[in-house]
Amino acid sequence: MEQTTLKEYPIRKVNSTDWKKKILFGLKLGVPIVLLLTWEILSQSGMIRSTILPAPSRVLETLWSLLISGEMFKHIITSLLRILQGFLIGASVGIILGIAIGLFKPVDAATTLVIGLLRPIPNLAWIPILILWFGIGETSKIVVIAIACFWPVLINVIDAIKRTDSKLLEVAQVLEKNQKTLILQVILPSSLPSIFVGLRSGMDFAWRSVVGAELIAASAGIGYFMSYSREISQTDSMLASVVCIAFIGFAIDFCLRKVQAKIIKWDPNYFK
Amino acid sequence: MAILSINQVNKEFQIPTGKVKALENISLQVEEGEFICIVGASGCGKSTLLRIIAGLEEQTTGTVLYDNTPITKPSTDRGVIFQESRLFPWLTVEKNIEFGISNALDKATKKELIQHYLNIVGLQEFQKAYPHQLSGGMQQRVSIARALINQPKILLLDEPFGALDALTKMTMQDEILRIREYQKSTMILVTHDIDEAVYLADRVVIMSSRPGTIRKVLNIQLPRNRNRNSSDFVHYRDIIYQQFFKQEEPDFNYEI
Repeated sequence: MEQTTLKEYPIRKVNSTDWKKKILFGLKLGVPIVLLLTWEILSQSGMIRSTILPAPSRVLETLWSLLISGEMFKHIITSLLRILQGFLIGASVGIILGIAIGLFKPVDAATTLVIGLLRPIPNLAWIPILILWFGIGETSKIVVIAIACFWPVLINVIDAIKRTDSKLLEVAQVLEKNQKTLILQVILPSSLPSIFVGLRSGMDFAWRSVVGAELIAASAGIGYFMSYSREISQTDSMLASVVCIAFIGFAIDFCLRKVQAKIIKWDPNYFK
Repeated sequence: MAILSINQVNKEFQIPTGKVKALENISLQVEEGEFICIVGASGCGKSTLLRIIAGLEEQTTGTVLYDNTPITKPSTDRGVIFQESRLFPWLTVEKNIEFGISNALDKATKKELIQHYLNIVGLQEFQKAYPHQLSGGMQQRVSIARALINQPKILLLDEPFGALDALTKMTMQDEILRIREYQKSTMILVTHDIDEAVYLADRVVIMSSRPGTIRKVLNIQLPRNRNRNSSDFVHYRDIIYQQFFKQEEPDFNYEI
């Protein structure tokens, strides 16, 4: 009696996990599909007015024609360029300042209050001030994006540096390593995983804020195109831009994750 | 002349509710080439004593002399092996061992040295592996190689096999004896495993808890390649056991 249960147990276990995996996979794909179908049916049947919410098929159609005509590409590239510049500036400043704050107590003390007061300011609140300072050209938009991605990068870098395992620091100490080796070969490498988390959420914030920045003053860019479509009541174009924003954001994060996996292939947590 | 001389060392820790005495009146002379095992219950201050010798902690009063000079900071003369292997997860086995090298050497010499110590700990095939790909015992071997590469005069081992399973532990104990034969270094090993102490030590230092004091120093006069089941071995083990467990008995005797 006992033997049969022993024999059956592993087989049943394997089956059930297989089964569970299939259900989870089904849910992952199924829920978005069901949502889309419901939306499609509701719009097609006229229960939702197409000027408020056009059917997904209609949105895709519009997106396709916008892509073909090259109009959408123009806006995407404009926005991407802004993000790239803003991200480079914001992330570099965030990393450098974060390292300085994490490593040196005086820098930490000198910046605590300033950071504490500036950080809660919503990103969009900067826009009027930045327009006053830099005009309505590219600079103000890039600075908004830079500020947006600066904060998550900064906070993650400081945290990563401060949380360096004291046990590893002791190893360097008993091996009589100097300050430079300690920083370059122990503290920074051990901070890399968290720094990447900061970069990824920084990129997230950058992508989100570009749309905000372009809503206010721009003549190109995906955020501009959205607000323009609203003005001329083209709901399908607006939604096509939203779809674009979602997919590009997803693609950027995917790339960053790939880079992360390459650089920190040693991190055992990454493979769990 | 003792290579290490510990005299009247006291150590107090400051905690929010006051002071805690970790070590009281510790004196010990260690001769060059000796294998000392410090045995004690957890929390008896044995690791603190080792950390003071390593230069990672400072005694409150008393002196600790290494080669007749007071110890003020860590030195590569005194290698440390911790309970956890403490390898850098982002470095391969080879690079982890290389990190141990403290002298400025050229690339070829470094490489040769690393190969040599990989050989000693038997991990040549794993030199390109990352620590998370190794078993606990292999990780500890890497950390031993990292500590040995500077050829320290004294090796300080803080419960180095505490986290390993019984079989791996025994293999590693033999390994340590083999390495000692080869390197001729002085060894101070902290453990709570009485068998380990009797198997490895020339002298066993038995410590009592709170505050940590030296209760007894026992010479183990057994030839090497010790048999863990011989009657002499068991005899020494009993002596140490009694140091820990006979404590309560006198009270009962008085009652009768």
